[in-house]
Amino acid sequence: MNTMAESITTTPMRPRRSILPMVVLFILAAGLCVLRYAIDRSPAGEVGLSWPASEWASFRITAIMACIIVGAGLGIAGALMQSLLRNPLASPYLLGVSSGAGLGVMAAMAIAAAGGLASAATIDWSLPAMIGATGALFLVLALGRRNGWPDPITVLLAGVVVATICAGAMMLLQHMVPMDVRGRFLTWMMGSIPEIMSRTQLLIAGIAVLVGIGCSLYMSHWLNASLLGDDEAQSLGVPVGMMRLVLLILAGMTTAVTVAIAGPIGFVGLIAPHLARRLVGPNHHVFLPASVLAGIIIVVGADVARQAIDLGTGRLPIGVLTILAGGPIFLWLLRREVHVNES
Amino acid sequence: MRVDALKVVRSGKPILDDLNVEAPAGQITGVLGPNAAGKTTLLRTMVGLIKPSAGEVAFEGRPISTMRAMERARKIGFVPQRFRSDVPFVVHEVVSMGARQRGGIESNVAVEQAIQDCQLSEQANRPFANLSVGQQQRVVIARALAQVSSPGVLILDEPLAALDLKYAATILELLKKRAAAGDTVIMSLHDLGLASSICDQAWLLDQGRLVAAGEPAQVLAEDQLESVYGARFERLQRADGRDWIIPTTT
Repeated sequence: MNTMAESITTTPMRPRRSILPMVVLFILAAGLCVLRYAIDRSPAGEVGLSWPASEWASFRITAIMACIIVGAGLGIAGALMQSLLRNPLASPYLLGVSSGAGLGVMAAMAIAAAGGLASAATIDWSLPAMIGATGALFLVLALGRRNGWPDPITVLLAGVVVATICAGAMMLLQHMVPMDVRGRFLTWMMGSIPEIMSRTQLLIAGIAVLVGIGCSLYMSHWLNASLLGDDEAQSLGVPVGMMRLVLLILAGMTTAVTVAIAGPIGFVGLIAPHLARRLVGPNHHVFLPASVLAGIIIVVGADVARQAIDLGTGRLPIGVLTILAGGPIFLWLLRREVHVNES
Repeated sequence: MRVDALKVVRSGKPILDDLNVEAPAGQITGVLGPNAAGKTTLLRTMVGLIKPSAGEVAFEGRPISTMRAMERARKIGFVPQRFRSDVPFVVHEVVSMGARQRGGIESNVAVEQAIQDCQLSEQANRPFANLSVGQQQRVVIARALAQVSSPGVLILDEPLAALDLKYAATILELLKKRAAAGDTVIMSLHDLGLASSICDQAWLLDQGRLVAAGEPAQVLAEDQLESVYGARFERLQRADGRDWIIPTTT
């Protein structure tokens, strides 16, 4: 036995193909954050690079922090969803969170309008968004149970149906409110990165996302084992049902936080895990942090791009950019995968 | 490992009905019976994957339901009848998952030993999903071997189903060694001749009930087999005194 032990301890480690991609992702994320801090757009629409004056710096830092929290949150939530539901098309919004948040915001806007709140345009909608998102999440988890624990397929179906019902309710409310409220709601649905947020809000959101990332990393070896199948994972000591419940709640709550900050931003939670998996492989020890970095890169990158793009209608909503850029990227990844499998 | 008054009921129908058996340590126990006899349900209940409706399974005198999941995983390894073929890891990683809870150098030794024993050294860095079904079966067996620290229990559901004769012999030899080292080996088999030649004990199940348990020569009596399988069998004596049992067509 000793001989075997010695031979193993002296065996060189397998090359860690994940180190270089992780370093590249980190440098790219950091570089984009610096670029977002420096990119400057004048009221006339001219784009340049310069460090902001001190009175503007806090706005940019807030925007960067919001981008990091939203990108990291959607990245980790997307990775968890795809692993837990064993579905490469799963996105954080499949838990009904964005539709629930949308319904919460739409309901709050309708109540505000009915209550004659003329200044509704300046109201912070993050609380109703959070309430709606959390309500939808727990409804989906309650409906998606089998033998007391979340079942991937049932959760998926429950998520789709709850999201559809929420969308129907949103349409009903839109039909009932005045046109200006409808317009305000559509603007919220397109997503936006806030440049003004209280430190407390940023801190709470940041801690929530960090808790999500930390717990997911702590359970990453369980996630690896769960890819063997439920029976094998359980025989390896993994409490599969409990793990699924905890991580689905974390994914849902993390997504709810991002929606409360920036509204629904499509495709980030879908594409970030795909990019990460392609770069570092499926081992959750590196796949999860890589998804976080990929999410940050996409959101900060999109926010940089929207500063630079001028269609004469002001800065583009970030959700529009991520969908218009993310869709083709996803199709490209899909075709590449098909091509690799064919060859 | 003991099974006491075990009952598993699904949708009001008993899948296992009042089973009382014991698999002795240091021996190979074969679980036999026709399709839908309850073999897989029994093995999955013994691993702790199915909660019994009544009765209990105990290892070294302790009900497995009272053991912590990780403790149970260190002592009871399982090779399922069906496994996912699209696992996105290389062979070494899959086998390592079995030994993870053993920790440190013991885990590394167990992994390398299991890979060597199952003759998977050449495939160690190949993706699991790219292997043949037989190779995948050996990886799953290696994972279970690396998982259990002796004296423990190895529960295997038709472990030889996808293996060619050479590797079936290799795995049987490994299981014999593990039993000789003090492990309890319990496996379901369809090949009655093989069960007769390899098993020290046999359990014959039919429709969730235990028909017979004991030494293979007693359990595999022709009238008993005919009544359970509804078929006729021919018995041939081997040089080592054990029997070959093959179904006849008439």
